[in-house]
Amino acid sequence: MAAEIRLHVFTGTDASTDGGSAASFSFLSIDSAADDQSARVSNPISIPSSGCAYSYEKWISACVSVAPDNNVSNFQVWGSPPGQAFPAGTCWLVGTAPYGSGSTPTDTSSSIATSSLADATSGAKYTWDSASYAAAGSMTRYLVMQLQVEASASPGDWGPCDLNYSFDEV
Amino acid sequence: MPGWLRKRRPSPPVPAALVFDREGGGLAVFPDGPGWLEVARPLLESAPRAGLRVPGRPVVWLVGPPFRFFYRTVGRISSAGHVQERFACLTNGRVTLWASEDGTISVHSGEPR
Repeated sequence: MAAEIRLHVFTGTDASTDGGSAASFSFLSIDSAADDQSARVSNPISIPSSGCAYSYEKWISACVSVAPDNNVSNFQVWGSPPGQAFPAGTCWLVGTAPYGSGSTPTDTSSSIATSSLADATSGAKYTWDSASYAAAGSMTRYLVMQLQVEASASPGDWGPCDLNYSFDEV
Repeated sequence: MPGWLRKRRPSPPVPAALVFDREGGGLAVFPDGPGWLEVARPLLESAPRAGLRVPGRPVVWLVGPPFRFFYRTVGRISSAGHVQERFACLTNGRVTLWASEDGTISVHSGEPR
């Protein structure tokens, strides 16, 4: 049977509150799994007059909701297709952490999400988790993400930038 | 130095059948539609080696073993939603065949990325 993988968003103390299977996600100025337009409008990240501002970290894990025949592995992520650059003055940062060892999401500069997703492409992906998982209910490492906003950014809708991911199944 | 340059064209995604050549340890790909002819024509004469009964049709050989087979799911999530697409992948390390769920196959050089 083909494996089924769902993406879950975690919030709260030690990123321990599972928001369930996510259909999408948003960078917000609050620690929330909300992903709708009204949440984004009500909780924007303010453009700083100097330096950088940050969204709350977004903690995501891939959940094996239906077990594979053998295992799933090689989880990788990359950003929007080449040519679809992120809006100027913003940087989508990523990092990983072991599942179950989360930290409370912060809206200061993340100590985990420190790599730019823009540097990861379909030809040079960012490694999310290289371990293999066989059982239903297994969770991958957290993918920790944060939106960095510089003073040069323009206000308004950041747009539907894509997080692409892949995993292998045998 | 004079020379002749030709732009390399990517393989089109075409419906295809895969047949193992047990004697030669290879794999034959039979596109049902047009495409790959430049690659396939020089190999047509080798088709009987696999005991194939469709002479004259294009064939591409993926030389092996060893082969490595797996499925790869590619997902995309954003504020606009979440979608997934699943591919079957066969590679000998130098050439990789990708088969989508609608049965189309495309060929890429090198290891799967």
